[in-house]
Amino acid sequence: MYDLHFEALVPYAPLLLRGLGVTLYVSVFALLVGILSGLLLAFARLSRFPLLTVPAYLFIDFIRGVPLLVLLIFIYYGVSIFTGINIPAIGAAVGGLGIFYGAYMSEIFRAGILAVDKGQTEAAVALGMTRMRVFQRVTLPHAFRTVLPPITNSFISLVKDSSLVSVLAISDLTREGQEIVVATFRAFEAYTAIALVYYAITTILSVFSTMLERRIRRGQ
Amino acid sequence: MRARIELPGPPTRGNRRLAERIDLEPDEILRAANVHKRFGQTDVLRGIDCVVRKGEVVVLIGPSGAGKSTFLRCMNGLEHFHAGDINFGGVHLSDPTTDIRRVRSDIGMVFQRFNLFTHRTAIENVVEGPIYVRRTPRAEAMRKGMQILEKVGLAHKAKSYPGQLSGGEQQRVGIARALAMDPKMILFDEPTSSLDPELVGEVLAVMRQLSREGMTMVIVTHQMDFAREIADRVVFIDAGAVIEEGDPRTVFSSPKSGRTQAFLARVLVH
Ligand SMILES: Nc1ncnc2c1ncn2[C@@H]1O[C@H](COP(=O)(O)OP(=O)(O)OP(=O)(O)O)[C@@H](O)[C@H]1O
Ligand SMILES: [Mg+2]
Repeated sequence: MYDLHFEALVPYAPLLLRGLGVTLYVSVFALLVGILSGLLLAFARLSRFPLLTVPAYLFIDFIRGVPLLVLLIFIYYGVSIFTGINIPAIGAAVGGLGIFYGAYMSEIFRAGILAVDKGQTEAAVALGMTRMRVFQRVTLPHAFRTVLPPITNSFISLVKDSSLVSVLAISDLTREGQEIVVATFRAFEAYTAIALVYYAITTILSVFSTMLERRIRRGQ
Repeated sequence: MRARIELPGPPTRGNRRLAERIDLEPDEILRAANVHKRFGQTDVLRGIDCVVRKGEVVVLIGPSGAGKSTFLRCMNGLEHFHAGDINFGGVHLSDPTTDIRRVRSDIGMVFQRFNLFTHRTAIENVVEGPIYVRRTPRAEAMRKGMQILEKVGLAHKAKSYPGQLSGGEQQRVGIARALAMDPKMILFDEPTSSLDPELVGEVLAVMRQLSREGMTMVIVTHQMDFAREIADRVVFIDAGAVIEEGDPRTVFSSPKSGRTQAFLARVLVH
């Protein structure tokens, strides 16, 4: 019979906390990279020029066809092999996670922009606005409302998937958990603790997402 | 390999020959001459000629699919046409170097489905054009915007979102949004056809008021009684061409063309 000894983890609480910090750091920056690359890819795919749409499509297709774990390792080692530049693991983690999610989010952005009612943009065009103005004043606010819930969901997945960056020897939550197991031989307790922390973060995020959605509905 | 055959026909955007150009008489604000437009293979406008004089109310009538909306949308460049010219206030819409946005900012448009910006309040809808196209300072735009909302009887709804307004109120905000740009002319595409019957009157009342004040208006409508009442001139369009036009009394009571007679017989069932 396995005796549970959660108290064995207590001395390692600071380690878990530090791991949580790293996980949040990686997730937030990866989200920023994801949103930025996602927007760029979405604009490229929506453009009139095949020179932009085709490469964007191929890129998105490739990224979505590769497992995230493989992509992370590929970026970490691949970049230094092909360019001779050693990038820090954290950079590979943020970049890999960010671009991976950017590829998925670009489809959300694209759908959100395409879903904007034509009557809305036409009214703005009829006022004499420039294309940029129409985008800024009408398309963007509408698209923002549609993409916010799915983007929050992507962020929740991203936080969970960030555990994969532990393979790059980054001391995120998962990695710290593994270290604690090595030190205490309390595998079940350590992983339970980590699971609960991930669960807490994602729960907070989804509550936040639900609140945002309600606020958006009310504003219409 | 297929040989490329040059078909005779109106110039297209790609190989626009010297554009046809039409000039205005002094009392005219818009003149369309020989306007052709096709969607794919279908010729929707087949040589429309039409004049709008300053301060005049022109009502376009005709069967569904005749091309009324398309022609209206050509007037402010929402649709591109393949041949002919539209001259608005001395500017040739067929000229590719024309700043079409300038033209649009001087022409108001009121839509069948209102097309109010759903994420903005009534007053925000009204000041959007003045602030972001005319670059009017916000405070001034707001002050004028409130006056215009007052005029259409909706000052008390300034802070309401379109979703909180009735159809009739939304359409009056739509008219206020057009008015806020100090337009030289306003286009109405079936402004009352998506309204419940009891809400039609309030919108027509605003349009009557504008007509009294001398606003130049081009109105597409299926409401023949209103057309007869408000129009200075009625233009009957069928199959992409103007079949007949004239003052409403003449066109409605003694139409010359057989097609006009047939159309009126169908819509004026009493
Ligand atoms: N974007 C488009 N693409 C293809 N065909 C179009 C398009 N817009 C209009 N048409 C066609 O052009 C023709 C004229 O349409 P239009 O909307 O101008 O008619 P209308 O006179 O306004 O009719 P209604 O009274 O029903 O509004 C129709 O046959 C319509 O199917
Ligand atoms: Mg129509």
